[in-house]
Amino acid sequence: MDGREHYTFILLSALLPLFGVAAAVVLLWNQLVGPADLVIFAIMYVIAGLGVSTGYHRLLAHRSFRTTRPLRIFFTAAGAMAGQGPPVIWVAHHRRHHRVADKPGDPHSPYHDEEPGLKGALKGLWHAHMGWLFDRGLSSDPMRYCPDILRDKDMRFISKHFVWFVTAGVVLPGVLGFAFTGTLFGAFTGALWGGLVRFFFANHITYAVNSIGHYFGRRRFATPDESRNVGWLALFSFGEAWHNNHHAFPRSASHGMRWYEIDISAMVIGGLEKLGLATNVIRIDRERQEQKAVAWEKLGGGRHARATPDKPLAHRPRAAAVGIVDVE
Amino acid sequence: MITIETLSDLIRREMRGKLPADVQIDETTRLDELGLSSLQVSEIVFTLEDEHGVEFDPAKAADAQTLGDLLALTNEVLEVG
Ligand SMILES: [Zn+2]
Ligand SMILES: [Zn+2]
Repeated sequence: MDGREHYTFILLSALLPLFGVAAAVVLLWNQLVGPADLVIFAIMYVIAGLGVSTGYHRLLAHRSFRTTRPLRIFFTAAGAMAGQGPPVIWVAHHRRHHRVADKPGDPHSPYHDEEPGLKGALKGLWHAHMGWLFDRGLSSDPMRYCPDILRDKDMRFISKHFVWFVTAGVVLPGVLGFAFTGTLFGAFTGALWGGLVRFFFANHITYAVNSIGHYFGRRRFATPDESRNVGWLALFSFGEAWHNNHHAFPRSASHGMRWYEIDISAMVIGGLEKLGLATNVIRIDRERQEQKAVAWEKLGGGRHARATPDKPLAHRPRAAAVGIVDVE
Repeated sequence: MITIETLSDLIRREMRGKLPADVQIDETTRLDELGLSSLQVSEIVFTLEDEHGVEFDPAKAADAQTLGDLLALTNEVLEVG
């Protein structure tokens, strides 16, 4: 996908789900929605949600655990079906986000060009939520940010054929709809609910972690950014909403740090580990949490606090040595 | 030791006939004037790795701007290995 194709894709992926939701509302109004549609919606929501959370985010971007090749392909393919971008681009932007969170160079910070007042705040939130996707000038060179992902042939394949995976994310629920109802109309509403409506809800939850998750909520750790834990978003984001915990310990396989912080993605990883399908699962014990909490408290925390390293990789002088350890 | 021909074959394979007709492929050709996306550049770089059993420093590969740079980088690693 080149720059222009990517931009067209972003536009379509913002608009089509909106039409899908409108169509779904009309059908709902006319009671043309069956239980099969809701089941299909739930199935697809879970597949795409885990693909983004467990696959793209924890497995690829942060290397929180290791798994077998088939599962790595499965999770990445599921993440691609969510339609948030090819894995190499998603991971590059995301690692850059962690590197300079809420500081100049962050691809999606709600504080990116701070203007005073309510209007400025809303503008910032919109930018972090979706607006940043429309920034044509934004690119995070995957060769710098995720050479480890690029080196993996399977990841390059999925990135290159990304659009087919997104398409499969609409066709598959259509097939399910046909299987459940045996009618073409069932296939159509299945594709609508499991495809377009699901895109809409699943992606806005992810986007909300980027916008709300850096704005409203509790901060357990005084990290050098504005990340927040947003309890009410935790269930449907598969645990991603414990975002302050996550910025504090990006590599941790679990974003929930207490027993009551529900994190479905972490439960999936834990389950895979029990089955022997996940290894090298990264965990942060309570003692280490407390130590870091104290250290950050001294620096003050927030987006004006000093962080190292302080520049996005792309802004470094050329030929400076980088390693992936720098960016995750 | 790989040559500019090996490299241009790889590029043609990657671009599958979508290469601008008037483009000259030699050591001074810039990767961006060929219209290669970052994913396509990485496909070329890591195919070279696979086929020759070497490992690049990705940071250096990211700095390569011309085909000559890429060639030099590959042959440098090949000589050491
Ligand atoms: Zn964040
Ligand atoms: Zn992250």
